[in-house]
Amino acid sequence: MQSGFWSRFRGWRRSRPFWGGLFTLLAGLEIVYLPLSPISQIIAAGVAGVQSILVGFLIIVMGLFIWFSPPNRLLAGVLTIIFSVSSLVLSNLGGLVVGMLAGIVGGALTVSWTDKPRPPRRGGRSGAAAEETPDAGMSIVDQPRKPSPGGQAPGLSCRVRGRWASPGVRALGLSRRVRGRRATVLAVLVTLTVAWSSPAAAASAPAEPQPTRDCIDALAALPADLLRQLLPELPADLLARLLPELPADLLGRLLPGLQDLVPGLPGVLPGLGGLVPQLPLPLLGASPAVASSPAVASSPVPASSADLAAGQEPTAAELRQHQEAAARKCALPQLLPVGGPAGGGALLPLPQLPGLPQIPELPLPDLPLPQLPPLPQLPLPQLPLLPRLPTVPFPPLPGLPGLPGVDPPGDPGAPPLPIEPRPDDGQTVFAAEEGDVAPATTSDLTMDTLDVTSLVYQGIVELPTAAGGTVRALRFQMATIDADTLRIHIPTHTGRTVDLEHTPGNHVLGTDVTLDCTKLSLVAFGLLPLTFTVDAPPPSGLSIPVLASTDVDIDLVTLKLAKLFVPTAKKSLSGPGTDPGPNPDPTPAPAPQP
Amino acid sequence: MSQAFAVEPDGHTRWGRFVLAFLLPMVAVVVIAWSLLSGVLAATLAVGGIPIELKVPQLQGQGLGAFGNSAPLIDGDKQVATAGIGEATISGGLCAALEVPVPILGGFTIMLNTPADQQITAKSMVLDVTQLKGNLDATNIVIGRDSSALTQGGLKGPAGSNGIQSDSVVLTDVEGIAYSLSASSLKVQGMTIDLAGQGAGC
Repeated sequence: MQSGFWSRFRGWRRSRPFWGGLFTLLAGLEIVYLPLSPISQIIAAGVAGVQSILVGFLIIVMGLFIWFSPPNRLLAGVLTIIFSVSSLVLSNLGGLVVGMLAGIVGGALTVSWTDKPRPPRRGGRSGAAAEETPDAGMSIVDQPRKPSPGGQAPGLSCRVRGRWASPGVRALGLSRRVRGRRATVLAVLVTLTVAWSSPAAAASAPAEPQPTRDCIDALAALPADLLRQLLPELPADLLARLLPELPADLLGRLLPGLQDLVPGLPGVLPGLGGLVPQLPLPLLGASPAVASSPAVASSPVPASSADLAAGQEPTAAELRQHQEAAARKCALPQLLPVGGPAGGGALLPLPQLPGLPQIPELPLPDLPLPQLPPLPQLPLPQLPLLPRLPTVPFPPLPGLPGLPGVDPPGDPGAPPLPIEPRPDDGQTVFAAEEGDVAPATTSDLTMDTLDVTSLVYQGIVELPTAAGGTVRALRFQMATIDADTLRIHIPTHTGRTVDLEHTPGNHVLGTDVTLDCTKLSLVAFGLLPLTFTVDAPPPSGLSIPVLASTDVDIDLVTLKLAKLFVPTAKKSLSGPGTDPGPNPDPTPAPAPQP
Repeated sequence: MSQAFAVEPDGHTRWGRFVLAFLLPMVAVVVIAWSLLSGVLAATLAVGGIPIELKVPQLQGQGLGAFGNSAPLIDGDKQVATAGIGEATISGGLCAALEVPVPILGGFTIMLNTPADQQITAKSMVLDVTQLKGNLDATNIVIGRDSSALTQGGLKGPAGSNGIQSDSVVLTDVEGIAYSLSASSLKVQGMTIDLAGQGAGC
């Protein structure tokens, strides 16, 4: 029956803070919605993502409590407010503020909901509609209503405990129910606590470190009159921690002076032998009048004392040293002896927030640009003019001697890094260094032009793979590279590729390069097509000081550079089924296929 | 918990109390927001599943690790490159536009902006990017290491997949689209948050 359902629903809705619960649930859902990253990523970022979701779920649970356990609505409402306010810090700025606001509104609605009848100024409706249902756990037992004359709402005059039944109060519609007042006081206390503690915790944590053990020991080691002089300079929490540590007789000697300096300090300190609760000093209340007599009685107090507990008098220099040590350990420059430190060295400045790192200017690497050698000087044998056969591996040449007439590349400020070929036979396969793990597939690296200085072929390297096997690759080392129109297509395990490319015209620069590849093919000096593979490696000990090549195609295993500078690098994903998204760069990206 | 109602229940909200219970938490919120914006508190950030358009003049990162990945989103898998940066410093002002879809109503854009003279520091930042453009200056970069063997950036990918890592990077004039962004600690000074209609960009 439709009408039956709706009337039941309305009854259910009105018997609990429905809208408060609704707002709370929506707030929790909104806060949880934002960080729904893949779970592995949240765990990678640490606890951060987990607590974002946790706060949201707690708010959702509070909403469910409000709806399905209305007797607990007060606690649920208060907790909703607390969680919503803390979500500002813990969860994406409170679900980007929207969730936090909805949660506070929901919690406020819940806390201010009541099932008591409405005040009579609302048209006497409450007389008829005041409910009799007991609200277990929340309200007091209503006495049975007695009909009262004058049209006043029955039952209001029979409420117990604190209910002001005067006609004036009723007319105003005010209610002074004890329970409601308690709820308000509770909400006030809670929010004030949150408001007070969070900035206090935040401000105190970075700004004021806890007084350390060293600091307290250093202060306790000071002689009495020096300590008396320094006491006004100490902050309150340091004082609260220091005083219990001092021996009783020292305290006694300090005490009369202390009472002048720090009003409100009870005089019972010496009597208790240091058993002072760790409270902020203003809370240690006691009348100074009571304090003075036991203090005077316990020990004779010299006003200015050179009377020390043990040992002979320290010299003035030693006093200064002690004072400086205390100032240093407590990081309080106001404790410094007048006239500056006697010893050398500056003292610590006041504690600062951790400094943000300096931004270095974007360094344009100071790389030597290779110069082309003058070609007629090459002592190469005269080759017949053959058509380009890039697939035919070039027959091994004897090691090319140094090219005469070539100036060492680079400007004087940046000498090229010396790269020595391995001393043993380049055909020997050697193992890679620790930590080099080759991926299962090679990437495709192409460059339109590539200028290299100090290219050295190291040999064939055997790299381990994650699956436990090994991959053999040719290892080349280069001092500097300068490439144009560089593109790398890196296949991923998902079948798509990650493409890195840069705008043609800007050169990619790199230094100290180690290249491991299974195939390298290029056209050297515009004339010489060279292709090297693992099965047809270059001659051992191949070392070319300067190489200018074009049409470079490399099956890349691993590329390592000490410095890499890629202007206008663009990384995008392509492959079947991907959505490349809006392209901010006007030049269209090519559509490579793995 | 079902109750038999002798008469129709009539719960109502006491609006005076509501105003009180609403304003007091807002005081706490204002205090906390002030602490956040003055950089005293570090907030956490973990947003995922909605496209975030980022524009950053300069990003310095210590420890970068990246590999290709598949991000499961509500409307299907998305191909992303997952990048982790151990410590990131963003300077020159960040602009981030988040497109938040709202069922039925379409959606709105949340724009986060920071002033150009303030820095943002983040720790353990993990991004899922589908597109990234900028100038790159990398130190000790390794392209083509197995992504399960990455030693930088705090991330490890699946075995066999290609990964990139670098000891430190400086990216300038960065523009990109991220589908997920999380950081364990984020310190921002002076961020402004604006709401805009759907489709507004940086």
